[in-house]
Amino acid sequence: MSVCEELHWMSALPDAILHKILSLLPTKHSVQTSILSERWIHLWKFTPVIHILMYSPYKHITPSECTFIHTLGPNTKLRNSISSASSSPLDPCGITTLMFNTALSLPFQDRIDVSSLSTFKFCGDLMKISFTSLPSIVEATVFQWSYRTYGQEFSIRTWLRNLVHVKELSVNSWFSQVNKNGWKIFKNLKVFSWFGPPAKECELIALIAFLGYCPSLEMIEIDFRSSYWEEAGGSRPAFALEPPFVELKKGDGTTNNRVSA
Amino acid sequence: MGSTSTKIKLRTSNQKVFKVEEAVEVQSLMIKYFYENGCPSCVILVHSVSSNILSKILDYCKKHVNSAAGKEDISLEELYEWDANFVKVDQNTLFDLILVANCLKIESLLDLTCQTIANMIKGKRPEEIRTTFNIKNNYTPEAEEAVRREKKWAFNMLGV
Repeated sequence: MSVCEELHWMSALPDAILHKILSLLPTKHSVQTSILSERWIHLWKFTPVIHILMYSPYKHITPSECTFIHTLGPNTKLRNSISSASSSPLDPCGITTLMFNTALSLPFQDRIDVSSLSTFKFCGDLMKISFTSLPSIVEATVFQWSYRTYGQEFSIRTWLRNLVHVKELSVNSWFSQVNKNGWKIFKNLKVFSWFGPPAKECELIALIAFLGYCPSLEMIEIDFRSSYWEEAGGSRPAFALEPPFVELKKGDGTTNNRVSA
Repeated sequence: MGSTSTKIKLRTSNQKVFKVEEAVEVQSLMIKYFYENGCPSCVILVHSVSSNILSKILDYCKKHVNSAAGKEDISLEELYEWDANFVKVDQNTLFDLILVANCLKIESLLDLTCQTIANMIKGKRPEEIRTTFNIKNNYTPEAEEAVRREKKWAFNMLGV
């Protein structure tokens, strides 16, 4: 009888399902479940989503938080769990989604295996993190805090070197000094979302020109939000443009890119 | 693929036989596999599934297939609402739904049910989660304290 009681349905669910459930929670919550019972102690380590949420950019990071985040790497079982889980073809379980809202400096590329990362959501100061390569990324949301001075401008491209597979890109900053030739790497971009009003007119021009270089573009979403957190309130983009956009004449006339401002 | 009127038969653990339209059951990747690689007219045994759970699941598949095919005039919001009501069930039913969705590989239903559980966990302290789901804490007090200490930051509830 006691065995039956202990094996209540929640704990009796297959691991894969519990991983799925935990991956729907912010990482902090899924870590908390390790205290529920021995059954739960390692479950959170297999979630394919790392979602670390720090509500205020001004919040001080406690030393224990720092330790956790910085040891998300080779020294913990997390990494082992991820690599062993991803070797199974039936249930590829590398980290596929990384959502990060923080001001922390994160030398991720040699700490977490991000080769299977497909979604990256970031809110914070881009200057502080860098990825050398994200070969499988298809969706990137980058909400840059705007208090940075313009002297430190740099492009998303510098940061996400490999953008050729990106199908969805959402940003709130775009900079005019991006090399036009570099834009060709957005050939697979299908959805482009713009969060914020351009700070300068030349940025708007650069933005429109950039959209002209995206042959696969299917939708442009334009939204004016002043804070990343508006997303949490469920507010939808102000409007979405779908083809046909306004015709944009191209020199060779073979591509039919259409862009609307 | 055969005509849409092809019926697939499913037999549950309590020996009830369900005839399902192929269009509905291909929502289940597993039955789709059976159908495409085996005999579409044979009876598929679905072990450990009771007939009321199976009929609920077939309702779900039917609703989603019909709305996707435009056979039913239902907006996306209405479908979400229908889904939300669909998972307003007791925990045992929810558990069965998850297991069946998992074993028949009905991805959208699995997403829906897992999200329901995640919502039930969200915002609760570990003690409350234990009570809600009747999870027995088999840690010794010392072991529990050690886990807590190791993951101190996660248990600092400030800022969620």
